[in-house]
Amino acid sequence: MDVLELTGVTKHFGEREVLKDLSLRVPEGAIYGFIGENGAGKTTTMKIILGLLAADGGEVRICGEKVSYGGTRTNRFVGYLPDVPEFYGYLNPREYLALCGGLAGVAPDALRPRAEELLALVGLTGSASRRIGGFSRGMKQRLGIAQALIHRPKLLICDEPTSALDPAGRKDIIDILRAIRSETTVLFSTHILPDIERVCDQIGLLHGGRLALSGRLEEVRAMHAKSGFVVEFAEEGEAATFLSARAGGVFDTPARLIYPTATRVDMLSAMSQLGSMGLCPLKIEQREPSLESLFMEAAAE
Amino acid sequence: MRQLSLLLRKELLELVRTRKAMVLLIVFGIFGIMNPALAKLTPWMLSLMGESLADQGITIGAISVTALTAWTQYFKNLMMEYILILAMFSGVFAQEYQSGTLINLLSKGVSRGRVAASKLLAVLLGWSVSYWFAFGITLGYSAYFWGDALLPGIWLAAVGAYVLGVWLLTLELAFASALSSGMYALLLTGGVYALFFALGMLPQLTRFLPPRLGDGLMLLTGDMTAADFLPALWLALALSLVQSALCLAGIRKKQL
Repeated sequence: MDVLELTGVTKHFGEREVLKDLSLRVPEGAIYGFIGENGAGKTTTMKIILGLLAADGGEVRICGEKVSYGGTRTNRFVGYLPDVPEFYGYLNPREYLALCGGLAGVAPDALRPRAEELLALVGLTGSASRRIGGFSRGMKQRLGIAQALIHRPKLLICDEPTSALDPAGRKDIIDILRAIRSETTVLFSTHILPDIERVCDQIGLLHGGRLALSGRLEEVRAMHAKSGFVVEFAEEGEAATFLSARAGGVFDTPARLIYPTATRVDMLSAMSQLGSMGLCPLKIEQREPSLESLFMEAAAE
Repeated sequence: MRQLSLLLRKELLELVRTRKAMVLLIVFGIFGIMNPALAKLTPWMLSLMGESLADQGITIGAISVTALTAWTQYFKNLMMEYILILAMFSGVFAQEYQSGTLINLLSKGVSRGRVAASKLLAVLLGWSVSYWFAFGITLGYSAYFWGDALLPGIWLAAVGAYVLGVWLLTLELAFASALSSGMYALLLTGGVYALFFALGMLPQLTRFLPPRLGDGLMLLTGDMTAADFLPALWLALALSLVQSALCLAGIRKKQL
């Protein structure tokens, strides 16, 4: 079953068309990486999903229920972490979670243990009685995850949760997302590709107002997999020697050769050839498209 | 109901922890004390100046100060109270719209109308406590200084001035919930007040328009009867209800 379903969503701001016929499906249990460059319309899409912005056309369904702008009923299924979550500085995390949980309809007696559980999950137990006004960005981001999860939502939507953080803060967030994958489906927007590779199993690439690429991460990679292999030597002379013995390669750098059309069998024979020539490369590997190259490729189309 | 009470609790906590409540109580307390104190001190101040005034050929006869002097001061100061409370609450919506603090709450499925209702209630509660606090202090001191402070007409005049505040605040919040700037809400409220004030210059309209509620002093001096005052009171109450409804509607269509 699809937890989230967007069909033909369009949106413009003035003259600028941000979303053109965007359709997207997030199956239950997925961690869906929603990729796009800055300004591609990721935040706009998320706000439309939450009913905070009006779409010009198309339809959004969460758990089968239609989202209406200005209405908030479907949000009971959703936990939302904004890119820069803002809080009331005069409350402390416990009070804030009690407010959010109460508003989301968590039963009063279940609220306290749930809040403590989440504070522990995001590592804020020690700061639970301090006013949020004095929190760092990373702490606010973690509290943002806790408030988004307080009512055990079916779908957690995170808008660039790692973009503003230092590497340690990013790792914390990624670890938390991994830890909750059994509990909820996650839609996670970012332009930081390594984060996607670390945690997502499904991806969708937003480009030019529609999904330029989508599917399971491995499938997308396989579909766009380039055949061939790469050999890298320590010295430029070795690369030249090998190329003269085995044609069909091109220089990527002076010490690095790419055989773009080679098959796996070719690669095996190249390896024995290297052995017989007494050449020891720094590395020899199958070409696998990085998310970055997929991204650049789709963006260039 | 649980959502509304949680939101209202949050609004009141904000008033207390951001010290707005304290500022309101102190300033309105000062307003309350100033009215009878100034009245009480007037003869003394004039007698201090008496000699130098006498040198200039001005003689001062016996000045009689009564509770009416204190109430005169009270009604003269009202405009300052309105300006203060309007300025203090002009940003209740804009602050949340601009910082994005509402997004977390709305993404929990809270209806926008409830958010607006909680703010409306908190602001009106703040006004009620402040206003009647200042009134109570003026009343208490006047009674202490001059005995009979409850002059005929005082309750109607006091309720009228209170309702004028309710009308102004609901007007401001109706603008504030639809706009992203507290300053605009404040200016528009001032503009509507000025418009009504100008319309009130027409004798046929005076008794119907809310600004009349600021003239409560004339009820005490006998220059006006309740019949000239009540139509404005009812109209102000009716408008306040309409404006409250507009405030709840305004937030619905706000893109966040």
